[in-house]
Amino acid sequence: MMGLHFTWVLCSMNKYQLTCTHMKLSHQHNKPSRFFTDRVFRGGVRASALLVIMTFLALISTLIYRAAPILYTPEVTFTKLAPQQAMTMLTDNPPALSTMQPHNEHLENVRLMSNLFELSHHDNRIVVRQLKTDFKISFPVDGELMGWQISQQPNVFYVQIRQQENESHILQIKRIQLLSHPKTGLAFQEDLLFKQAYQSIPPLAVVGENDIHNIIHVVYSLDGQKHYLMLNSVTLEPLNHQRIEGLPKEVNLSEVTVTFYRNKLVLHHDQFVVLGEFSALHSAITIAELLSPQQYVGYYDAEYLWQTNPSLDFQDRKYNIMPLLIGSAKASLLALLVAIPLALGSAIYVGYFAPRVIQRTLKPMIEVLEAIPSVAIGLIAAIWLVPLTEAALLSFLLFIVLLPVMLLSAHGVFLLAKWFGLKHIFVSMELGLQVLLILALVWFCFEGISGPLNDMLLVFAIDTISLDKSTLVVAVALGIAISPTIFSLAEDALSGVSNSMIKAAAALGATRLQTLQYVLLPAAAPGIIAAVMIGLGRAFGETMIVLMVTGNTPIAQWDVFAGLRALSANLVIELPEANQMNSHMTVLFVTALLLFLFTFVLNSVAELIKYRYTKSLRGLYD
Amino acid sequence: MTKLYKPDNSFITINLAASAAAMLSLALIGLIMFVLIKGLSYFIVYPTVNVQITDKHGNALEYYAQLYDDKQVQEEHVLLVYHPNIQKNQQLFVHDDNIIYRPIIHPIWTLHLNDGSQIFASHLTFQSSSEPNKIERYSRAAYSDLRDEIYQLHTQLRTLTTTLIPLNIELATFTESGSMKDKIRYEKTHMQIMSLMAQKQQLETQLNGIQIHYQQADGTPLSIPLYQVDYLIDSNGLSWLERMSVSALKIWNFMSDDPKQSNASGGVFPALFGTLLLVFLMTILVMPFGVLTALYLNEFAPYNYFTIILRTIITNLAGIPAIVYGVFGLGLFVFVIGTTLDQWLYSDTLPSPTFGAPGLLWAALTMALLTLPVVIVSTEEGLRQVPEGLKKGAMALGATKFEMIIKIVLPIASPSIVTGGILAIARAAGEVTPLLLVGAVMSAPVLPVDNEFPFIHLERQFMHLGVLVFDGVFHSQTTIDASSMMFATCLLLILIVIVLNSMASWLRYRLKKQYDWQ
Repeated sequence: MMGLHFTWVLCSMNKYQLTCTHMKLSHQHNKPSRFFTDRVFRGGVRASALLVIMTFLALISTLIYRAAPILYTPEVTFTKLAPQQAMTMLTDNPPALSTMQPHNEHLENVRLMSNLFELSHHDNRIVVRQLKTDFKISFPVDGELMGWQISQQPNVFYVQIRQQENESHILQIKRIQLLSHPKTGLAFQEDLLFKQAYQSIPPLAVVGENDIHNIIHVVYSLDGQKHYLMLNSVTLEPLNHQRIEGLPKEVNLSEVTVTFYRNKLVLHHDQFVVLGEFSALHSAITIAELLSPQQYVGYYDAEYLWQTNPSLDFQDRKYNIMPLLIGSAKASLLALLVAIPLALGSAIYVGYFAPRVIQRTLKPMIEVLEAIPSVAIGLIAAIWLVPLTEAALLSFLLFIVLLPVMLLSAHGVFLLAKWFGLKHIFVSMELGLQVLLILALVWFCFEGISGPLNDMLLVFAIDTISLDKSTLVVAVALGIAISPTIFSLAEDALSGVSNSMIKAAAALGATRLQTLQYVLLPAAAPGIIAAVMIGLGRAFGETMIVLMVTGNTPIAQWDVFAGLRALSANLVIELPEANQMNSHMTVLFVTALLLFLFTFVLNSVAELIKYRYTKSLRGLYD
Repeated sequence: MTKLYKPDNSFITINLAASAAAMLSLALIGLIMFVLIKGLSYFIVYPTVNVQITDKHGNALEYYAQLYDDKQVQEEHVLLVYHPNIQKNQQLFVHDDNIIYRPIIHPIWTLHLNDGSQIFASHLTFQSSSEPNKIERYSRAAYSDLRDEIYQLHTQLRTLTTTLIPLNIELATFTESGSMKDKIRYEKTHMQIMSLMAQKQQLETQLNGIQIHYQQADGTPLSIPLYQVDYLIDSNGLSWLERMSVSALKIWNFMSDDPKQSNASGGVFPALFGTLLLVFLMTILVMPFGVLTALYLNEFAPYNYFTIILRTIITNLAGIPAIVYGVFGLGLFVFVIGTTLDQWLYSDTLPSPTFGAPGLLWAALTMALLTLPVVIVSTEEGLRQVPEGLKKGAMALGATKFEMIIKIVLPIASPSIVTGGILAIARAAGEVTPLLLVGAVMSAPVLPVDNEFPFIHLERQFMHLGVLVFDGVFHSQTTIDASSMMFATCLLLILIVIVLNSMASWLRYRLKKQYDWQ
């Protein structure tokens, strides 16, 4: 065989012509390079398949790697520095956030940040006097007040309280806020930072804050031993708690100057310097902060808030993703509400009822709609549809209400026509009829009756201006954008149903409607459900339309007439400006991971349903 | 099919389904018509009018203006006027009661300036630089003579500038070295430069001397240098054919010009170029991997867990939202790979990033990943069409698998591979979301391709048609001119995408027909 001169026939597979190309391979089949090339090629093919898997793994691991800091907490390492080292370190460093020494004098005439209040202390009560109005409010402290410290945030201060409980002493550090209360004028809000029992020597504590991470640092001495505690300033969860090594027991904390930098902390004494270095501060964020309602400084109740750039330094950054989740869910579910009837109706019509000619034109048309860039749909929705709903909200709603009514009346006309024996006009002209009817309805709602409708608004004094109508527009635009996806998948499922089943139903005397109801839909149901699920995934992840149409206000309300900001839109808005070493970036990657997981689960389940369905069909009808 | 069934009263169901289909198709037609009409209105030559407007203080103002025949707002006239003191166009919405149309006695000219704004003026006269006292009335011959003069002056200026650049560099190196030996040469070069500069200045005065004088509606005479005028038309006096040619000129300018007046007028050339370059790079990156992976799945893959995982991954890749790809591109390509590359190769320019910032390469890679499933699915579809007998025959004749694939499988499957490529291109051209994170910007100072080594600058940021549209909406440019430019851009984008998709489906249809006998 090896020595044979052989001819290779390559036939181009055309029905009518058979072109044969003769290739002489004898001159090359002995070359070992042939097999080498083959081996290289096989390797290349395998490598590219492997690369696809690797890329996918890289995608997941990048998302997880960047989102993982949510699970762990910042680290602090304390080192004792030699005097020279300490000197250079102290002189080289940029200005500190705050330098503090613990205070243990009593509260007397302390002015708070906003210069409006005066604090004093007697009989274990803290008294706050508003300077302008001389209004006083007092607040009991269950224990002895040991010291105070003013926060960088307005109207916030920290107090140290000593309690005596059955021979043992307890140290408490509390954060106290002054809130302006609608009824009483002023109110206190206290949060316990931590509580610790001690024995003999009176404790002391220094509190510091971070201006870009939601962190409170506490350095305290208990029975001579110095400790460091890091807290999340929103949830007050402890993030890091350890003993400070290198500080002798006999040194009193009041002789130590504590300086807080963004990424380090310096304990400065006459004889020595201890340096504490923070690492992975962007992991200061916790899951509770993301998901459960939080009472932020300055707020009365626990709330879901997303506000990543506060107006003041040292203010809490509000990283609660619930508003975004609700926004995404609201937009995608409303879009699904629009898309399901549109897409499934079209799929049933095109896949079952329509004559072949219409089938052949409609299907590619709807596929073209699928290909239209979402930025184009967003453009039209934002520039044309939003002002339209602003001007004619009632017309818009009337259109939705009148649509079924119109169908019923069309049915009446059909019955009438049947009575007169003119039924043939309507048969297989449904599409043209519907196009005309819809156009007429659009004209009626937006032109014919818009004047009287607006007058009605005036008469009843209904204020539609203040309502945010962009959610409705998003529902329509997003619904139209995702319905081709649902349509083509559902249409595939419908046309995948074996033709013999439909014919059998017809042979048994079923009408078209009965065939649809009892044969076609049950058989295609898994495919249709999968289509809807994939459509939901599309809507959830769709960015451009939501971004361009809505006002992007993160509001945690399910109200249709309230604004929304979707997870995906939020990523486009904030990710380019987020700092890599900031918890903001971590949170954004968490939202990206959530988006990924949501669509991943939806797609996988849809795949599974489809797989089961094809399997069961194969079992039934093969 | 209809004949198959018993007659029934399924009218309402059929019509319900038909109305859904009707609404979807009406949505498509409406969408395309809307973009078409709005987009083409950017190229229309609007009439100019002479109006008297009463402003809110009760002052009567005379204007030459462009009248948009846009009856969006009832009883309001939308006019475009030019304010010479701020050198900008302004859009006026005037109520019916506050406007009086004057008869047009002198032709109102529209001067399209190079910076994208338009001056409306009458009584055009020219002043040549050689004879400053001679004022010439507008005539086509005089205009084209002056144009020629300006063209010559521009050419001279350009040659002067090109000779000046190396001299200036030479001078700079002398100044740096500072040795006495070079002093004479330094003096010489300096003198040369000074004389050239004087020449240049003279040319510039000459250029500025060619003035066009015009009158505003209230009779104020004004003038600007003629070289600032791109072209001028009397839009009321144009014949049908001239109108068409002006529109064609506008379309050409739209495709070949830079955006002007903060993306409100001018053209979209950098964005078009950026889109095409991105798509080109993406295609180069995605096609080999897509085709090879499809070949693996169809020709090599044993039925094991690896294959099942690969298939699951490909279906899932198709379902991941585009924004997640963008986040991934930023998180891996820019933050990890780009930063590492910078540390290895461009450590001298740090901390300003080269590849550690969003750019063309990362955008192309992200898009390639996004379109990978499209290519794989389409290629596989074609590979499945290849008859098993042919493949077996080739193998039986002693071909290696590589030869079999190259000579039998790929030629037969080539239309579907091309289809996959086209679909990928269409997807990439229309997708904007990931680009906003990995490199597309609303206005880039330079193109990513120029005559400096290495010619294609993969680290540069670029402009993209979709991003331009997005930006126009997001930053609410709602003046009629600006929004119609957005719609024109959008129209271009939709045209590209639809043409590509139609090509793909035509190819697929041909392929299907070719192998129908199976």
